[in-house]
Amino acid sequence: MRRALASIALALALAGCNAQPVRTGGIVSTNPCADQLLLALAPPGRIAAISHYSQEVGATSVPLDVARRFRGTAGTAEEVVALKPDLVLASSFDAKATLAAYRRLGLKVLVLDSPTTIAASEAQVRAVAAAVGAPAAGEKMVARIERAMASTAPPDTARPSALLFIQGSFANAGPNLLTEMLTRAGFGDGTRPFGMPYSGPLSIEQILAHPPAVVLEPDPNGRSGSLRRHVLAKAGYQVIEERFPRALINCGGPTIVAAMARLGEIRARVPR
Amino acid sequence: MNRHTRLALLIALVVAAFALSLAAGKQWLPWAAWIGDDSRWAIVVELRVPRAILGAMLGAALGLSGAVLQGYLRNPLADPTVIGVSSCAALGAVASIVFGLGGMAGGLGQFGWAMAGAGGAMALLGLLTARAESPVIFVLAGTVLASLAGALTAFLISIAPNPYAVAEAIDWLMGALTDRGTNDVMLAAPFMVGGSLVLMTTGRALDALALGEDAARSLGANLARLRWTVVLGTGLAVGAGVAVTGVVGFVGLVVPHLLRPVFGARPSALLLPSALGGAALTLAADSLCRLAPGAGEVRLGVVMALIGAPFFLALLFREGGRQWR
Repeated sequence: MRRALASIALALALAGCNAQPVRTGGIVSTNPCADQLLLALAPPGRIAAISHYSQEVGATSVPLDVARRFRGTAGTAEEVVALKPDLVLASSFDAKATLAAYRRLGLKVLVLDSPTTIAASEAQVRAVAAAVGAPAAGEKMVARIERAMASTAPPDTARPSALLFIQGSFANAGPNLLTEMLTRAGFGDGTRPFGMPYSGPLSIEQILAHPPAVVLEPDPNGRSGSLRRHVLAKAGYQVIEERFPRALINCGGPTIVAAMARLGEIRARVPR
Repeated sequence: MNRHTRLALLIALVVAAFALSLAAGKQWLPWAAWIGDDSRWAIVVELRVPRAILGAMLGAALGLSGAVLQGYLRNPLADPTVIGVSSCAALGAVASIVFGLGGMAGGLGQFGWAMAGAGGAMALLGLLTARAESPVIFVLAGTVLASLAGALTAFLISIAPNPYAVAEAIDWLMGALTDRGTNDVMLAAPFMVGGSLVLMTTGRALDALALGEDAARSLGANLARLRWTVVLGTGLAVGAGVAVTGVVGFVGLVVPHLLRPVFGARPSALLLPSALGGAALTLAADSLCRLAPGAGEVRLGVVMALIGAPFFLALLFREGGRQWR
């Protein structure tokens, strides 16, 4: 008898899980940067799922409470196919096998790469806007980016050199979106003396040989950040240190607007 | 040449390697930087001195625990990695990087997590081997613990929230002394020195054990206590080392083999020389890391394997495994 009751309870519980049928159609995005574009360009009703990355503090480029309103997937083909989406926004960093599975199963896929310039990011905004059927919203976003770029034009001709740390001792370097934003906000490239072809670790000894005017970092009190500050001060260098949040580092698109605002703010604080 | 002369030579080698470690780098420091008012003085005091001290302590801890474990397990393949303490400490540190917990109190968080990993490994190892006296159980338990920790580390890296956390975790796993400050030395030194002192007490019991377990027992060696001493000493010394520098291999394996032809195969005669040899080798390898061309430094764990492996193979080839027959 007890067993029968238990199985009824189990059946009811399972039925409860199924109470909300899986909706089909709509758009699924499997990459945090695509999530951000999708959330900005498409009406919420058309978004079937976003990536789980956008629902995590360390990876998201959108407010967490917004991201958590949507279904999240881990970006496996199974989860995505089960939702039968009209469109999948995938990234060139997704596993080749996953992208191949989408194609094999006949899903419409837009693969986004990682834009390395402002212009490339604007082109990506337009491409996503066209794919989700909201070209006007895309143009509006591009106009906002352009306005942000224009309004953070540097106040003078000085180009204080800046080092932007992404995590720990890992410094941004080489031609990429962040470098272009730093340049357009009126900073000089602090990694130039080191000849770094792309982002990578930069030791404090190296920094002491060519100290920058400004250090930007997401976590000034972390292990690397605190030692760096301590040693630079001991060596008698006056380096301006500013927090540059992680959420502004990961993506282009609408993030550019927020990132340029922050960079402009920091640049205005650098004395002539 | 008697033992004292050989030891004195080894000490001279450590001093020379220490001096090289202070002077070598992306910028060679001229004499002017050492005296008087020079901004490069900060490089010496804040970066190179702590780095050299850590390098010497790490090398000594690794060399010493390698010698103890090779004696204890009577197995030429033994080194600190086989008992799983380094892997578990690494797991703790990677967890703190992936979950972003290392930022607390200027890196104290990461050290604490790594030490918690090392402590957990020591406790597990103690429990697992509590009822078995044989070193074979010890090495089996340690090996399984190491591969479990390795798998969990890989799992954590695979669920990392962003590529930069992955880069930092992997970078850390390769082991390095780059940008270690006085704080790191203060954190790690008590454990590393304490653990090494504990390990130094094992000499007599190891000598007895070299004759076989039964002979050792009849000579009055307490094998259960020896096992606890080995777990505690290696756990503290190597765990704290891994907690501040990441995983550096090969020192514990290679150094006792390099020194056995010079100081003899008796385990107790190898302990102090292995600590000194480990310190010299690590300091020299760390200086090489910084001299690599290009923007960055080569990771210490990588350099150690690059110089350790050929050395070791040459030794095997020359000796034909003579010492172990």
